[in-house]
Formats: sequence, C-alpha cells, structure tokens
Amino acid sequence: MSESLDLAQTVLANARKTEHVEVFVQDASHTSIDVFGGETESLTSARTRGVGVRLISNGQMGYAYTAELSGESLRDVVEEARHNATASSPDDANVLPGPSRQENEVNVFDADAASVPVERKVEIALELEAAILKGSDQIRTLRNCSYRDRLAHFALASTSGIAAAWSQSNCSCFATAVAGEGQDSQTGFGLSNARHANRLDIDHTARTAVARSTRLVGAKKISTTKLPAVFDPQAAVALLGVLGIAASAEAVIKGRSLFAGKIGQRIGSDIVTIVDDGRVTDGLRTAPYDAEGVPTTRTLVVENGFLRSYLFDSRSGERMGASSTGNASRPSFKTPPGVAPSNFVLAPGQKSQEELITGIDNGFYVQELIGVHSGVNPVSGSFSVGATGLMISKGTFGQPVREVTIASTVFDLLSGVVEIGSDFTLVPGFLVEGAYGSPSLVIGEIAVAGT
Amino acid sequence: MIEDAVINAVLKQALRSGADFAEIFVERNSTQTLNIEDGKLETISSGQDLGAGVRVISGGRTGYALTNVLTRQGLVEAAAAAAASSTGGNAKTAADLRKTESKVNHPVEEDPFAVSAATKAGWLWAANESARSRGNAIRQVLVGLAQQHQHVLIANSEGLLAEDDRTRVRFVIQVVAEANGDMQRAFDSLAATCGLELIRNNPPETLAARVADEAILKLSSIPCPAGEMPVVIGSRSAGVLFHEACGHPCEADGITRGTSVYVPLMGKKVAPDFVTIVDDATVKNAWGSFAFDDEGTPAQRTVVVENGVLSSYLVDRMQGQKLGRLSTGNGRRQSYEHIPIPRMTNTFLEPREADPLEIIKDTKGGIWVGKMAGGQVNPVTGDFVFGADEAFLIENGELTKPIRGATLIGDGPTVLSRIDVVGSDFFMGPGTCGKFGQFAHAGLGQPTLRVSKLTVGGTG
Repeated sequence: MSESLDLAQTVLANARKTEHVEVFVQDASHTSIDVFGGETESLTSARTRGVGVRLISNGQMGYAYTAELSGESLRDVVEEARHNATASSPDDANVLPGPSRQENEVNVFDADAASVPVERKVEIALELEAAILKGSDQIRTLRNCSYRDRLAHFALASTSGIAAAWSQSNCSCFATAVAGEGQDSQTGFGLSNARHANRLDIDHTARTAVARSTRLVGAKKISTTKLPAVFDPQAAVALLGVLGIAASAEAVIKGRSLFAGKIGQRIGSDIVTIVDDGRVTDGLRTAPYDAEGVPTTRTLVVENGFLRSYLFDSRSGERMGASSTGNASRPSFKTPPGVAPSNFVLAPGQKSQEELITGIDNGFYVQELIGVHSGVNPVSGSFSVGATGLMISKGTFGQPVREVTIASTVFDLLSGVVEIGSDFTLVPGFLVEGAYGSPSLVIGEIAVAGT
Repeated sequence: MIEDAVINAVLKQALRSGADFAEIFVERNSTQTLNIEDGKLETISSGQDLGAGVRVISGGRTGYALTNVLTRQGLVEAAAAAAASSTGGNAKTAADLRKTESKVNHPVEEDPFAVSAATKAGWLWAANESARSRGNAIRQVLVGLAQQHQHVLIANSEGLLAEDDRTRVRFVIQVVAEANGDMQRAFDSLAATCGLELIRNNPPETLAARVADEAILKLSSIPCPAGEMPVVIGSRSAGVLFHEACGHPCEADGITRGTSVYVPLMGKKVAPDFVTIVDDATVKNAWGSFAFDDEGTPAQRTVVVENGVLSSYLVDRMQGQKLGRLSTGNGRRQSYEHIPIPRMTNTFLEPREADPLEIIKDTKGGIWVGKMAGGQVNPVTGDFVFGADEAFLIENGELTKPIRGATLIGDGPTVLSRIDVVGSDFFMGPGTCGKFGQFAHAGLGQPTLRVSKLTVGGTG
C-alpha cells in the first residue's frame, strides 16, 4: 500500500548523510470475536499504525518507535533512534541489506477478505460453537470459541535503497471443547486458518476439538515405564518450536543454541527433514519480504538427519559469512528485527496416522504436551514435559492418560524417529515467533514417568 | 490526557444505541530497553505507544474498538464502532464524571526516563563483568534492563474517572556455563513497580555473580529421579505453583463458564487449615501492583483461600455482573489493544511458623526446589507442569546433590491438599503471566513448604 510507503519515505528524509537508516511502517486492522452460549460475548474492531526506525551511525545501532504519527513525532522518532545509537557497541556487522530482485511473486493478501461483513464473521464463530456442542453427548461446554482476522499493510524504506510494500491477510477460527463424565473434564483444541473467512474449515475444526476432548475422558495416570510413542502433530509442533529457536544463527552466535557447531553433523534419524519456507502457499508466515525487506526463501535446515543450515538475517549473516535467508522477523513495529523461523516444517512421510498406530502393539499416543516453554532447556536440549494422551494397545487407542511426564533430549528424540505420518498440522508458535508444522511421528522408545 | 468534554462526547456516542455501560481507556506507554549479550550492547530501543479503547456492554455482549488517533473525531468513531453490536433500546445518559483519588500509591524515587542511557549501560557492563569473572566455564552472559512508564485514564458511564501512573523497572540476567560439551543455563530477574532505586538498592553485580555461580554449579548436577516423592518447595520458587494451580482456576471467567475445577468448591475445604492464599495489588511497589486496575477499580487485597477454605474468586466488572458480585479489582489488560479480563495481581501463600531448615531436616528422601522455571496449567482439568530451574536431592534430611531436568506435575486441588508443612520465611518475585494472548505483570510469593507426594519427571 503506497500510503504506508509514502509515510516511510517521509520519515526517512530525516536521515543524515553519514547515517544508515531503515524505516518500517505497519498499518493493521483486525477483528476479534468471542462467542459463548450462542451469543456474541465480545466483538473487537481495531486499526493500529506505527513506525519503527533503525539507525546506524559509526557502526552503532539504535532503535525507536512511535504510534503517534504527527509531523513532530515522526522527526522525534529518528532523533530518539540517533540518541539510542550513541550508547551502543560499535559493530562491523551492523549493516542494512540492499535491494534484491524477487524470484517470483508471493501473494498472501486476499483483497476480498476486507469486505466480509462482520455479521458473517460472528456467524462463523457461532457455527463452530454449535457444531462442537452437537458433536458428542460428552461435550459439556467450550472454554473458548473465537474468530480472528488481521489485514496488515507493511512498508519499508532504507538509505541502502530498499523501498518495498506488501500486504497480508489472515483469518482463523478456533475453539477449545470441554468434554466430561462425572467429576472428570478434558479439553481438546481445534483451529483453521485461511486468507479469506469463507475458506475456513468449520466442520473440521469442530470435529478435531470434539475428538480430542472426548477421547481423553476417563484419563488416568499410568505407572512409570519405557515404551514406543506416537507424537500427534499438535504435540510434535510444540517441540519443533524448540528446534526453530535453535536454528537461529543469532542464537548460535550468542552461544545459546543446541545446534551450535553441529552443521554437517547427524542430529536425527535419516527420515527427518526440516525445511523453513517463507514462500510456501498457505503458510501462516508466508510473505514476499522479511522484516528488513529481504526477499524470503526456502532453507533446508535438516536433510535426512543431517544439520545443513541455520537461519540468518543480514546481521547474523554478516557475522558468520553467510547470506541472509530472509528470516528477519519482528512481532510489531515496537521491536527491532531479530532472527526467527517463517514456516518451520518437518516434512511428512507416506503412511496415514492410522497405519502408524496399527503397527504398534503397546505404546503411548502423545496428544498434548504441556510446559514445553519451561520444561525444555534450550541450550542443552534436555527436557521433561507434561503429557496427555492415550495408550495404544494392539494397534488401537486404549486407556486415556493424564498427568505423566516425558523426559528425554531433543537429539535422542530426533534420532528415535522411526516413522513419519502423511498427516500435517501447521500452527502459530506458542510463546515463540514463527509458524510450526509437523506430521505424526513414531518414536522408538520414550521414558514416561507416572505413579 | 484528554478533556472531560471529549470523554463525555465519546460516552454519549457509545450509549446512543441503548447499551447498558460504556467506558473509555486511554493509555500512553513509554518504554526503553538495553541488552548486553555476547559482550556487546547491541541495540538500545525506545518508543511511545499511544491509544484508546472504547468498550460498550449491552446485556452479556461486549463491543470494543480501539484506535491510536486520539482526536475527538477519532475517539467518537471508535465509540460508534464499539456500539455497533449493541441492539435496540433508547439511548441512556452517562452520569457526571467524578475524579476518584487512590488510597494506594507506589512511589517512584528516581524517574528512569530522567537518567541517561549511558549511565544504565554502565550498570549493565558492571553486571556483565561480574558474571564473567566467576570462572572459566562461563560461556555466555545476557544482561538486560527494561523500563516502562504507563499512564492510563479510565472513564465510564457510571461517572467513574480514574488515572494511574505505573513506572516499572526490570533487570534480567541469564548465564550459560559449559564443561566438556555440557551446557547449563541459569536465570534470574529483579523487577518492581518503582523507579531506578530498585537498581541503586540492589546492585545488579551481586545478582549477576549469584546467577553465574548457579550456572557453574549446575554443571555438576545429576539427572533428576522420576516418580512420586515428597517435594520441598523453597521460598525463591516464588509461588509459581500457586499462581498456576490455584490462582488461574479462581479467575471468575472460568467460574461463570463452568470450566474451572473450583466451580463446585466455593466455601469448601480445598487445602489444610494452615494454607492461606492471597491476591493483593496494594503491596507497595510489587511487580503486580497498581493504584487502580484497568477498569478503574481501586487496588485491593482479596483472600482467595482462607485457612484452607476457598473464600473468593478473582473478579472483574463483566464477570462480577454475571456472578452478582462486585469487582475485586482484578480487571486487567495488557494495553488499550485488549479487553480487560480477570487476572491475578500479586498472588502469594502466607507464611506460618515452621523453620525452613527444619522442614528439609524432617524430610527423609525427596527433592528440594530452589527456583521454578515457569509453568503451565490447564484450568479446566487443573493439571499443571512446572520446570524446576534449581533443584537438589534430599537424602536423610540433607540437600546432597544438585539435580537437572526436574519437572513437577500434578493437579491443583490435589497438590493443595497435600501441603503438609508451611515455613516462616517469605519471598515474592516478579513474573510475566500469559492468558488468552495477553501478558500481565504478576507478583508471585510463598514461604518454604512441603508437598507430601508429587509426581516428579526426570531422566534419572
């Protein structure tokens, strides 16, 4: 949207000759609807705009932002970035990327999405709630049931010659169903994403939430044991979040990555391949450019078990003698860019989830992991996290299980992957930037702690 | 921040289509952050956010619209958008605005925005140096200082007009130590709703050295045993467990929806007699404190569990209406971009008589948890998981070896009922609590206590 780019250029005009300056503009509208009991509980509509300025002078970098877009504030924000630069460490790696040509078009904006009436959006959330409530007699209520959308326009202009503008539309509906019997209640989550509200899959979202909550009813602790496990995609993506952080070159440089020094080494079994793809169709984080205006790319991170590449922005690339992989990221105009995955995906295999389970005589189906953000040591990769799921007995689901922990290390887990499903779920990161996708994974053996 | 005449115009517009209640929340938020990592002060970042949200309640339905155009026109447009979903009825009139003064305040001695970035950088460099000097095993040090000044104005159609100024300062330190390819990490923070006196009175070098020593000690830790065992939870674990296991299920939205494990338990015994859990936003300068909550309700102290009996939920205005109760001053929001929801403030378990050292001495076998890494709870099932950041094996009443990779797992009601002794010490620390995509500053506190039996996950 050229209005945003014009604004970026206006702010950029305050740069001095010897300075390297980048101006990022974000202009986003969003709708947020929560329903409960057949009624709209809340409806939020919003438009927020802001400007972030990165300024490098004599190798020192400063950052400033403002949501106040008056002429005075726009001059002040550059001055503030200039002031902030003076107390930071000079660094040769503080560079701004120059313009580069895009290989192909990436379109992640559906212009029609803006014209969906709010009544229709409310209907989507209500339809989802109704579908869940009639999905099973065991459904008691919903913990949440929501519709969200966000239409965002971005622009970036810099003294190194970038002048880019792009737009993104994202819609989603999601719900947490509560199923139970007697004193026992269990939850199950379902989510659908699309560029346009009309392409959300309400039925599938409802079926997922219903199935995941009802099959856990009657869950018990089991005794401590070691056995084969199937990680459901929703459980596997939680662990992929840990790998995504580790793949950041910034984390490697700063000595807080478990992948440091492991390029070319085997880190998983030979069927494990992980790709970060900023341009994949329907990716939640797909965009033509990253947060510093570099075209996004597809990066092979793990190939048949071997670590092949980290993810870079311009600065970490400069430090490690590599090119940016288009992985500069910022949650909003209020933060300077850092490195984060785009769509970080473990490549699916051939067999359906059902086929994977059929092959297991006695195992544990891990439906959900909790406490991953606090239970995994991001430096050593060791973890002990809570799990909920079902026993697998003679190839079918058996007793539901709760309140157990799984302890291992990220490397043991990746090395223990013996089969990969053809199913696939892509979700936004939980407390981490990026989107994460995985099929079901069969792990040869894990340690489960219970009673 | 904005004139009464503009507020009146906004509230009038918001009530035009017959809503029961209208409110405007205006916020100016200034921040600055400095981080040193890998021996470099990479970027200093600062800025201003400014915006307003208009909330309109009509029956059980909330309409909300937000903008960062704070002109009369921008705000009236937001009011019209927020009111769009309210239905029917004649326009109501807003009561005359009356400014409410607060009985509570959290004094600021040294305004962080009046001190140069270079001075603050000096403190961080000293902390960085202090951590790095603790031994050759130190591989990486991250130190950071963040400051915030949040000014909020809340006005509503019942005539409430309240303003609150919240100055917050937070220092964080993370150290990575390595020996023979084994990497271990230690972390701590210092944070309060006050000015830079926090840093002046608590030299960051001291905390930095302690965290560095912790990281080094962890290198000699052994894998944590798994299974059910007694767990002594030290006061520096700072109540993470009670925040998750008891605080969240007491938040009123889970109660009105019938999704909390505590729904059937009001007035019932949920813990032994010697357990009292309090949520208190009036604690002077604590991380979760304020003068008014984000709906303009004055800060207050709420006893959630009194001598073992569940005695109050944590209530905001909306849920209070549904429950037929007054707000307990727990209506909080991350910023003007969010609707207020019931949240904890500073939540803590009160100390009793037992000597903390005696509690350990009295424990034959089990583990002692010195610090928690954070946790997660499913408020519907009450199931929780906590990572133990610092833990030791207890053998015959003594702390013997440091252990790694320990997690605690259980459910809220069971763990509360299994507390068998509560100590006389007390510590309250800062936390960041996430709920429905909104983050809130939360204080968490507790004495040393013991849970007679808890599932511990570990690799040993």
